[in-house]
Amino acid sequence: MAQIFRPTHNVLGRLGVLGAAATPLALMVTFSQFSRSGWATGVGVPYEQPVAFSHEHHVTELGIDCRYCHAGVEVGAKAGYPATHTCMSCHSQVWSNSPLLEPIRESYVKNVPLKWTKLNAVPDFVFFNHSIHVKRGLNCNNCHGPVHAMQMAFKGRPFQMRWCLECHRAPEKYINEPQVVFDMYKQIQRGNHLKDTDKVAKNTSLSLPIGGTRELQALASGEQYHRNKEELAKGLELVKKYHIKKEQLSDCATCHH
Amino acid sequence: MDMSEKKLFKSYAELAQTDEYVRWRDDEFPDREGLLDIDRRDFMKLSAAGMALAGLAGCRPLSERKAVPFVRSAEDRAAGREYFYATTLVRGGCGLGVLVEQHEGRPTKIEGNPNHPSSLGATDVWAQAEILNLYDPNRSQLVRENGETSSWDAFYDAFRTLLKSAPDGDGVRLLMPPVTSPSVGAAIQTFLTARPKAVLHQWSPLSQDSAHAGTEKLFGKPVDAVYDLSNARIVVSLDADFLLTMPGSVRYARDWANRRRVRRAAPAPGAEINRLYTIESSYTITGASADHRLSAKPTDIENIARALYAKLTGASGAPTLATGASAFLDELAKDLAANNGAAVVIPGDDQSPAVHALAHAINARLSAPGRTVRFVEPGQVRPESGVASLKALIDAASAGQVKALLILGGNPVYDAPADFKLGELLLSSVGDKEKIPLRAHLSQYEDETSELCHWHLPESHALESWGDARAHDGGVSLIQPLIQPLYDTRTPLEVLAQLADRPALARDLVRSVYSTLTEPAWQQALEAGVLPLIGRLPLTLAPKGDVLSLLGPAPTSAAIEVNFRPDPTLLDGSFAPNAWLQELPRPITTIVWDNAAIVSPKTAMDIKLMPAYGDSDAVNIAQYSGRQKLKVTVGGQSVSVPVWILPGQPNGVVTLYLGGGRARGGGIAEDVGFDVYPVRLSSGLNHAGAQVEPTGEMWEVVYTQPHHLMRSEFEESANRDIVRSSRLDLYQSKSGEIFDKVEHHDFTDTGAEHHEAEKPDGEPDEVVADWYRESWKYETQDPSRKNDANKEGYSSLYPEFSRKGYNQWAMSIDLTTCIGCNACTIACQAENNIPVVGKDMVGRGREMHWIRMDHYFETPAISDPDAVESHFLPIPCMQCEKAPCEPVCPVAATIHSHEGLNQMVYNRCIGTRYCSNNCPYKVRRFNFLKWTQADALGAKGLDFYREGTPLKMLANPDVSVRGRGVMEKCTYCVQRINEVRIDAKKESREIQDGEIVTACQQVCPTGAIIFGDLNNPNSKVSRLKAESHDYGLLTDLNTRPRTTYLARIKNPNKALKPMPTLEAATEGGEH
Repeated sequence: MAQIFRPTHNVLGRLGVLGAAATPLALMVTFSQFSRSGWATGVGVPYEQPVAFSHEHHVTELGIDCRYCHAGVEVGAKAGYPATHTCMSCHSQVWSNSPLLEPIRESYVKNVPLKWTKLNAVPDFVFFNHSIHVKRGLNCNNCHGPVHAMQMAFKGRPFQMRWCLECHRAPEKYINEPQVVFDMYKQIQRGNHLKDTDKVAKNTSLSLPIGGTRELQALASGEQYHRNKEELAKGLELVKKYHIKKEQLSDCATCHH
Repeated sequence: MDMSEKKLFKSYAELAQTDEYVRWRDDEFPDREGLLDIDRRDFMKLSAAGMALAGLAGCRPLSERKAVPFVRSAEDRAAGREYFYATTLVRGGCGLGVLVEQHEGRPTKIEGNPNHPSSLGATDVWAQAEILNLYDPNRSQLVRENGETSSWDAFYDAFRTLLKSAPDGDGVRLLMPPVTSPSVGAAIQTFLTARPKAVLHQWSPLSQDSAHAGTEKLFGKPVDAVYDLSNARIVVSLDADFLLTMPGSVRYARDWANRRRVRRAAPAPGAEINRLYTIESSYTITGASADHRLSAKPTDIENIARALYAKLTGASGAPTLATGASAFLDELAKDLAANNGAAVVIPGDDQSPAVHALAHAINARLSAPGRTVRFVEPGQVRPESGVASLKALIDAASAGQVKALLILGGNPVYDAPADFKLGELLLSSVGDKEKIPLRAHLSQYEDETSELCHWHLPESHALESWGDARAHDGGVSLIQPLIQPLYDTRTPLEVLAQLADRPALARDLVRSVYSTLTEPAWQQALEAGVLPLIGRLPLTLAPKGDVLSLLGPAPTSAAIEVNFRPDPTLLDGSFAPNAWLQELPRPITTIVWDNAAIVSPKTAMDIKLMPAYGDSDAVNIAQYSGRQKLKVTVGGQSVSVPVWILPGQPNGVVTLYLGGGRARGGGIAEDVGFDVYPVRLSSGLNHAGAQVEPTGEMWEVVYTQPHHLMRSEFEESANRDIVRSSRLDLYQSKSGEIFDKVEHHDFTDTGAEHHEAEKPDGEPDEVVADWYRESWKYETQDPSRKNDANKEGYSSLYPEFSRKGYNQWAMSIDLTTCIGCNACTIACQAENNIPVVGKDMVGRGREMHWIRMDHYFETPAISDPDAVESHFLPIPCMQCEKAPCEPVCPVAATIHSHEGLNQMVYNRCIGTRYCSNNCPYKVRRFNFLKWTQADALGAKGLDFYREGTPLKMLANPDVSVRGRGVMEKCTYCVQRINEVRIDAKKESREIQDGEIVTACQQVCPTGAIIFGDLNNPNSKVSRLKAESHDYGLLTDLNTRPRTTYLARIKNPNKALKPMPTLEAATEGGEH
């Protein structure tokens, strides 16, 4: 009687065992990668908006301050969206006949609010306050990506809890003097993020982040900047100056109530 | 347990150790299925499904959300911040100044207005609940003609058509509840001028009519009495519930409590502490707060007032009283006479005019006017007797003289005296023509009255309206809208102006009344909420001489009397559509979603409700109370109401609470409780003789008393007294600690000296410098070290950690000034998005209130109503430093913060309920169902998820709305802490003492709750915790609660028989 199993079956058997072990692993990796992908987190995916608003044009080219439209950012929990009236303060004069701006004019005349699609949202059980983060020198770009360069706005960071905790456990990695927040966009307008540190330091009264031009460049490109030892020490000084109690930052009730 | 040993108890079920009590005692979740009851296979299936589904629940796709900014936004108004606007809420015509919190244009929470004389920053349960009324989906939204949708114009046209035949308003009748609003008064005047033959009638089931009639008898003119309890050392209540339901109660409670703050400091320990005598015909929280209480039948109150007057003035003709009452009055009269000029007698609104006349005659005798009481012109516009006014309307209508009846506000078909048969009259016709051809009703709900009218007109909520109102002292404050009317609604003011053909914007109607105010002054009044010259000048009045002869014969009492009282949460029924108030446990009885006929244990036996085995048989009471119905018959009319047996209730008195049993008025109100108006006749509005008989019909009244029992209440152990009370003289005679403080954690340590020693010279006090932060003393305590706080040297299994440099939050609750009004419970509900769960679920112990009001009876003999004492104990989370809930959580969903808070993380919680099981105080609440969605509770729930429901706007955006399967509990309002901390950090400063105010603290009328930082030795809470009568609950468990209590110190009259506790205290010498 012939053998049912040939020597090659040994290989197949081993592969089968390995496969059985590897499949769950592969699945886990796939799922975890999937959950971190832009498809799941929405990072980098531009949404359709009622008006094709370009942050790049308004911020970088025209130099309009973030707070002109997001007026609540230093006052309260939410940065806020601009009222139609804010848009019309310029667009009743500029591009006042542009068909692209028809929704704005319609909203203003009919007194019906515009409905923007929210890009950045934390879950309902998370309470985030913009004002205190801005006061601690955290730049818009820190959390929202290179906003100043966005033609169509997209979500810059995934807003997962571990990402929040990266800073809440070690604020010295990201903290800056508060004036850095809005000075940064002026630096970018002047092209300073393209120069090297020495020149920038000499040529401007505008403040720089702790990491200098290299951090400026990273913020401008939306990449993560890793501070070196000295910079971290400077960060720690700021943490002390602001009486930030690091341990408390990761108390649950800081963000969940 | 032998009754004679136990004097302090929560319910007779506890005294009797009934099966039900034992069930609640032994298991926090008595309804659950035991593990062994479940089949092994089912258990495995459920476990597997649970694991799988728990994982899936985390995988939710991001839903696309819209951001909708304003078209034109207000200046200086940022999204994500709350702003407060001043306005006024009106209850019973009387205004209470409030500040309303607004988020992005929607009002979310109501707080008191510190500028307003009736509020001083506090509010009451009704003001708190108004926010739910605003967003109530059951509110009326449409004009209806005979049930069909119509429009305001159609209504006005119909009215004008009718006026064509009678332009002078002949046959037009207005029926309104009494108002104090000057602008509505002006609008009424305008209307009556435009239609000179029209007539105004006024009716409200709760009114000042007795007070007005009484003062008219005494002074010759009706006036309002305004009490100044800040000057009163002796306060006597003659059936007056001045701490809860009387107009001005919030202010009275504050003034009363300000003279009851027993502190070591101050000029002398406990100097100037006031004394309250309550003589009452039901058991109210005012009686529960009294130093001496005398219970009496409603008719006897007048006899007692006569006797007291006679004793003080030596007048003859006083009725003879029972010896007990007479002896009581002798001492009371002596005490009053000794405190001439610092005493006051307060008559109740539900008492006869004679009691008011007598009380104020006594006040005049005690030199009270100008000191503890002042008289002002009535706040009510056109004061008149409600019964007479309504009778006149009934007579005219019966005679066919009424062509149009406009009912602006109120619900007279439900609450008018039954013998007037108003409902029948509205429907009656002569031949085929209706007697009243045009009937219209303006109200917030389509209710019993709307049903019998041709036109239903939706009324605006106060937070959508312009208007004004007088405070209890006559001062005027303004009502301004917080939000555009949600629906096409109007206020009575707008309707009146329209009907008088003088339509105008509501704001202009109000503004025109104050035309003398300049625009800046008007703006300022709107901002402050009160008008510049707010008070009314006190009148100087001369009382007529011999009052007793003025009054006629003394009343005779009946064997059984009923008295009608406003429900402690629903009032006259106008708040019945409010789910929060329905589910708020009534003070003392803790009944929810129901009302009952209250009788004393002795009366229950007398009327054969329960067998007379022995007059204090707790088993009996536990078995018969809240279980069956009683038929109450007055003047041939009868109602059947479930009966509740309450120690402390006067014998021979059946107290019926108004406001239940609404037939219409929205899903929440309908068929909850029992309507007692059918036995409230015009001849006996406040009380009447009655026949009662048990019907044998069964009914289950749900009450919260047996839930959330702290185990130590039944385990004998030293130093576990949950409720501690003592006497002022004992307190004063002992310089040290009056209670053993074995348990008390040493919060102060040596910090004060430390602080002094390190303080650099010349450093100004208000600058909180770094050296101060460094010297904060809250350090790890050596657990084995024995000191005052830790006499036994308890050590903890749990790790100690340093709290240096952090604020340490803590709370102190003063039981001497806590009056048990429940305002904290409902303020917490509004602030923290706490759901309602309905009667059935409360019956299973699933109520969700984060701060519960425990109530204890203390009495040696429950049969003697005057020997019963009540103690209130508000129980929020104790925020234990060594919290037993924390180590048992398998997922670390409840852990400690660096500021000493026991945090609850909803998004981590998987619902094992171990924490609740391990909590000795039973303050944790579990979401057994998704209470916020309708299918959980049906018509009695609030559905926040239905498409387009206005309830979506109700929730506080700073607090998570919890889902099913999640544990929750008091957080010390951590959202408020975080907000203040962020603001302080932005301004680079320390958080100031008193800057963070929790919701329960803010609402408290008496200011009994204080919150603050233990690491600041000068904070209020630190100083209170250093008081000798500070104590914690169950501290021998070494939980180190952050919430502690100041023991209750009463100030009894030594000459009188002390109440039960005090007797014990005397015998023992000390507690």
